[in-house]
Amino acid sequence: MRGVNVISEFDYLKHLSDGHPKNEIIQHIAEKYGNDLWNYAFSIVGKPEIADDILQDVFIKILEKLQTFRGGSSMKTWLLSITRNTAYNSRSKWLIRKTFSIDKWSDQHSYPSAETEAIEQIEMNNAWKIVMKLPVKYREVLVLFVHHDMSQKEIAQTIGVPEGTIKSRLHYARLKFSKHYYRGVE
Amino acid sequence: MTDYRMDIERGLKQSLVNNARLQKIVRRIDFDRHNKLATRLPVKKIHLVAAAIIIVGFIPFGISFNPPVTNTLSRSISETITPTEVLPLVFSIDVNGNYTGFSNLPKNYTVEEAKKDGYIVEQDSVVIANNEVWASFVETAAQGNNTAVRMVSFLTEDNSSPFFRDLFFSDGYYSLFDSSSDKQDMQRYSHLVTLEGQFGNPLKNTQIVVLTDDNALSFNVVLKTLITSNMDYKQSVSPYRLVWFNESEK
Repeated sequence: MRGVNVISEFDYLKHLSDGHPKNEIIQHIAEKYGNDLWNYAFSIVGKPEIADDILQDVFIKILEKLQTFRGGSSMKTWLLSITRNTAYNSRSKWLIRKTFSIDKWSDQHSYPSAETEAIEQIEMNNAWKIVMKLPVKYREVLVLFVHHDMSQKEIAQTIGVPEGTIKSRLHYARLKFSKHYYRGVE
Repeated sequence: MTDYRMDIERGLKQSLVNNARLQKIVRRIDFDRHNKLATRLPVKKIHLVAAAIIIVGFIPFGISFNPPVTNTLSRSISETITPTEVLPLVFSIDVNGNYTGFSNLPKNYTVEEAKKDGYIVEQDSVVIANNEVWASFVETAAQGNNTAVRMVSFLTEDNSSPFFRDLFFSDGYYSLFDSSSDKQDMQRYSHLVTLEGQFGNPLKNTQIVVLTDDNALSFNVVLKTLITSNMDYKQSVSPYRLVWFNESEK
């Protein structure tokens, strides 16, 4: 993502929005960015099926907002910003699901955490498992930096906080990650 | 000992979703509806004109709010209320049917300021101040009188600004607007329904407050729409708008 060609992405979106059917536009975007958007949504909400819902909403918002993208940021940053807003805006729903599962309650009388449920449903490696245990503000920046290969400046732009805050969060995210990591290794 | 940094770099590169799952999400979208929208939307500036609908609700308990600039056609019931006791929250809708009440939101707004202003303050989805304003709103609306309430929600884990929700009861209908929403169009509902039941923790009561036109909506039906991913089920339920989801000790 660092050094991405913004002009070509703008032209790409312009081309897509020029008379193509909506399903073709979303099909293109899903193929090119779907993985990244889903992973980002999941890193915020911690539940696969809610990440599905968020991505569906994001695709619909993209259809509605195609004309508002003007190339001021990279297209991926723009899409990630929409994903982030959608994920946080739907938090009242996912907090409910994060905290409870009515089916699991009636079956097991237990309160599985979002991370535990996610681990059960999605095959994750050790790094993802540890990251999903971190508070969302730390795991979010770590995922954007490592998985999405974004610069600190781009992360600051996406999240809407100063670059210094991103630097600080990345530092603490790594610190917290290392504590979990070595606890597991030892 | 393995270096954790290498594990981060390698491990987090893994994608957790496969193409089949993404395709399933794309297939859930109702493209027929969205294809009806113009592919290229005309770019035009929207001017607020004097014909905008301005209705004024009020917040009891001396809430301070700076109303947006109104116009000569606006009418205000705040004239009948002593300004030192009650300042108006303006129900302002522009010619395109969009709420304009969030156009002058305060910047760097804090929890303490929100408390002082008398708004209902939420911190991480828990009401922490001015809960009594809600009871007053419900009572006033139930009597058929125009009223309004502002709710401010802060998220600890997010440093960005809080979001605001303005709920109006005006001329017999409820409308809710959310500053974090992309759309500010007015949806009117006939009923404010409070549903109570038990969900999850057996030691707590759950209360769900929704706006709806269907006052027969049940606790279980609303709950199911909140937790299911089944779009067919969601679409089969009468439209509603979630206002609160609260838990309290039994």
